[in-house]
Amino acid sequence: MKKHYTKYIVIYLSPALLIFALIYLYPLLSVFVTSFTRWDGYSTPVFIGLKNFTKLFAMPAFHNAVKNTLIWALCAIFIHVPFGLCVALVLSKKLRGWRFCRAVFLIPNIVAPSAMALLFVFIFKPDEGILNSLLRMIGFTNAYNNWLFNTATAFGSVTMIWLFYAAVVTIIVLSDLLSVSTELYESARIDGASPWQIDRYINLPLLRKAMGACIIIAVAAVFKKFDIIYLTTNGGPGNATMTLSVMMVNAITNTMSYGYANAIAAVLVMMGIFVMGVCNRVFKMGKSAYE
Amino acid sequence: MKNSIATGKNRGLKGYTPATNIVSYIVMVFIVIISLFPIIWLVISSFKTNIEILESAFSWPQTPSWTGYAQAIEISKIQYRYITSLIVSCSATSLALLVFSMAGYVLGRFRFKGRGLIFGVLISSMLVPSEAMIQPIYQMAFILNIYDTKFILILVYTAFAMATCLFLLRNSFTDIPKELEEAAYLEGASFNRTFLSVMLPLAKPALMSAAVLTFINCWNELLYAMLLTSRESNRTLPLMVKYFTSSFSFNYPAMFAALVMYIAPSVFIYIVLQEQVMSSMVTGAIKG
Repeated sequence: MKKHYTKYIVIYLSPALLIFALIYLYPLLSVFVTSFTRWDGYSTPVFIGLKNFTKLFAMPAFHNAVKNTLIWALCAIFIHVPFGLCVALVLSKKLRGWRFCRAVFLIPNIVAPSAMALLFVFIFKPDEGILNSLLRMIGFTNAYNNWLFNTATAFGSVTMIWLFYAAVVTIIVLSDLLSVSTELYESARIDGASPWQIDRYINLPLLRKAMGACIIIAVAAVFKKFDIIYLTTNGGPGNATMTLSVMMVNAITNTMSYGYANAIAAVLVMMGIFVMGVCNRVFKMGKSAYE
Repeated sequence: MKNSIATGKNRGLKGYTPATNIVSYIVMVFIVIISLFPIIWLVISSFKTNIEILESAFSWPQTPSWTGYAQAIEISKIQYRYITSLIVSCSATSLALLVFSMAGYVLGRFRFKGRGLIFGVLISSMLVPSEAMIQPIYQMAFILNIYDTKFILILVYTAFAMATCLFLLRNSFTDIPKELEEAAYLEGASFNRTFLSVMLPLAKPALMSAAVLTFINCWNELLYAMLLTSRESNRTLPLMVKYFTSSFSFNYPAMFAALVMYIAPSVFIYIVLQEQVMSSMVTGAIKG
């Protein structure tokens, strides 16, 4: 009987394992191995030790990319997630229209990032763009800033494309909030707690676990924001909005230096794991306070 | 405060002061504006003429014109890309559901050595930024002679759905009562038969959630579609977006019309299957 099952277990698992080996395991191994070589994809890779990495670490673009990624991670932790949390707390009051709000808030996360990027390119245009038109309408008659191509505003503008679209956080937190028994709230109310006290002393401690998950998800998303940068500024102006993935894709498509591109990819993977590990340690905070 | 309890004006928790309600409504109005305004603006603008758009970003179209749509179809042959995108997204979704429900079933219901390890390793795929693997996959596509085919995109997208699908499906299979399975075996059903006609139907909600999320992710994917295909017949919809940024940046109505046509299916699917989308996001998040 048991042997009989073993056969099926192997059969049922093998497609998934095969796909994992093909699309995750092999590429990752290849990234790390070829990051130590000079390689154009056709000739045999030449082992050059750490040269790709020393070259990379000396690039101003790299410094900017790391700095931008870290700033975005901090924005995700301290603005994006708390904003999503606030919205969830508001929606959990179930005021008129809360379901509509919840549904609508997720739409920007469903729409393709590439489409959002293109839409925001238009919003940020200097002459016909929506933002400047709006500013001129309310009195700033000389609002002709080219938001995405002005070094001073490019980073902030690109950040605005995702910063407040925190519906994923809201939905996760809200599902936790709605599962809290109403008796808990009722007894708090009888004891004279104000709504804000309920949020502060009951809801927030209950949400620690969900918050940990949200922070991990939001930070992981920062490392995956390729489309919006690539289609809006492509890392520019200068390197103001550079990220590692944009650097890497440009190294592949423009210079065909695959060893170097994979060195960037290796750093991207390692940095992702490292930052996520730190977040996990700092924010996961073990179990929920009432468990 | 007492008043609102008595009249039951608040539909949820009782006892909010007007000030609290006002702050709450401001937040709600704010998120509705930031979420809906860009999309609605896009749809309206797609019916304007180029001159109208350049003149004012906020005017209504004088006479709603379909020229933007006609031009988008003419310039970018969007209908062919629609078909390509549909083929790729539907195939990848089906393949992902098949492969990962098989794996999820075995991982969720059978005890064997290395079960936890295999699940952990497969799930860890979620921690890898998919962009990082583009060069080796590009290379592999050439080696396996599947560069510039729909198949390579289907394969890659299936793999990218691994963590979400496995997570949703394994949990759902674990929750199914054991008796149902045993009853099937007692009646002499084979392993395959039990899986296909007893277990899979019971996992339907999870299958739906996984399907919706996978389809939307495939529909939206840009980088791999851009680098793994070159022939017009294998180009998917998001690449048209790229096309418009470079070659027709001053034909706004066509660009906006193309964008509307591109995002319409995913938004439509979301509106119809909201509950599945939300539940898949919540379940996928539990383990972080």
